[in-house]
Amino acid sequence: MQVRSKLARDLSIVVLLAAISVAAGLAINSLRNRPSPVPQVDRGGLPPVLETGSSGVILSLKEFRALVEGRQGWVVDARPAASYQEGHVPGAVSLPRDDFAARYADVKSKFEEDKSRLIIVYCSGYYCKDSSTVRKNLADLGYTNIFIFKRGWPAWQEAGLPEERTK
Amino acid sequence: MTWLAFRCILGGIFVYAGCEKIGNPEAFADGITAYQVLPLRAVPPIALGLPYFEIVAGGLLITGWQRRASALSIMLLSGIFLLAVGQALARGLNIDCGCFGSDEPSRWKLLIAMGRDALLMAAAFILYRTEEG
Repeated sequence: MQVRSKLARDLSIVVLLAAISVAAGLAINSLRNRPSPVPQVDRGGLPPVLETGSSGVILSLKEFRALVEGRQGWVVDARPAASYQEGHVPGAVSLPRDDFAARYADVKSKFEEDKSRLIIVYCSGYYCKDSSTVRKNLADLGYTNIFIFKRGWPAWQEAGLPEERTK
Repeated sequence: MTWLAFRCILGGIFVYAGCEKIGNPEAFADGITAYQVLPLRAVPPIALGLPYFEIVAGGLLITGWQRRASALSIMLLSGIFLLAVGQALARGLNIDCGCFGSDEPSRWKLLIAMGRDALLMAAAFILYRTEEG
């Protein structure tokens, strides 16, 4: 067989394998108890999208700020407790990734009143993973309406928005 | 026999990489997003599908069934990873490679990842060329 046609045949198998893999990934994810809400969470990944906001997904700084100021839902700070004490988004609840269980116990009763209430988690910026971990912990506890404000604390600070401190 | 060992090592690396990502698609999606290459819409299916593709391609290479296609898959994947990491370094991004599950952002590790991807790509290319299909 010609080299070129062999390559074409091999490539078509590669494409087939890739397609099967993606289909399997999507199917298995949707069969899981709580499908991973990746699409909503990751909308906010890139600054241009964040700035324009998109299709009701709560992630731009503008939207986040409106929600914070309107006291709609819980704002959760996933950073370490020490960072939270130095300054945080007004009204935010501290649920540090590393101390989640203990701190969750403090807020459990008010959080559990409505598990479908909006929760927005933030941490120390675009590359931090604490929000994802805390989001997952909350989802495992049965909360259904959780979003991540990807740009997190640095974006809030850079915008010169009001900070709250705890002694 | 040496070819078998070679295939097992290369395939094993991909199976391992896929397994590290498969349990936490959200962290992997974060990792992909950090490269700032793909439109956000494309991230979820890739975050969910790529780990399976890595495992399938690596697994096939080890078993030897469809070994040309699996070697080609690994070559293409390594090439894509190489480009992704290269562009991140060139743009000065300090991100987590995300190659084997999530880790701390580090430009040093990105450089290492680039070298590793080049080696994997070369290894897969050699395998692809030696297999008569």
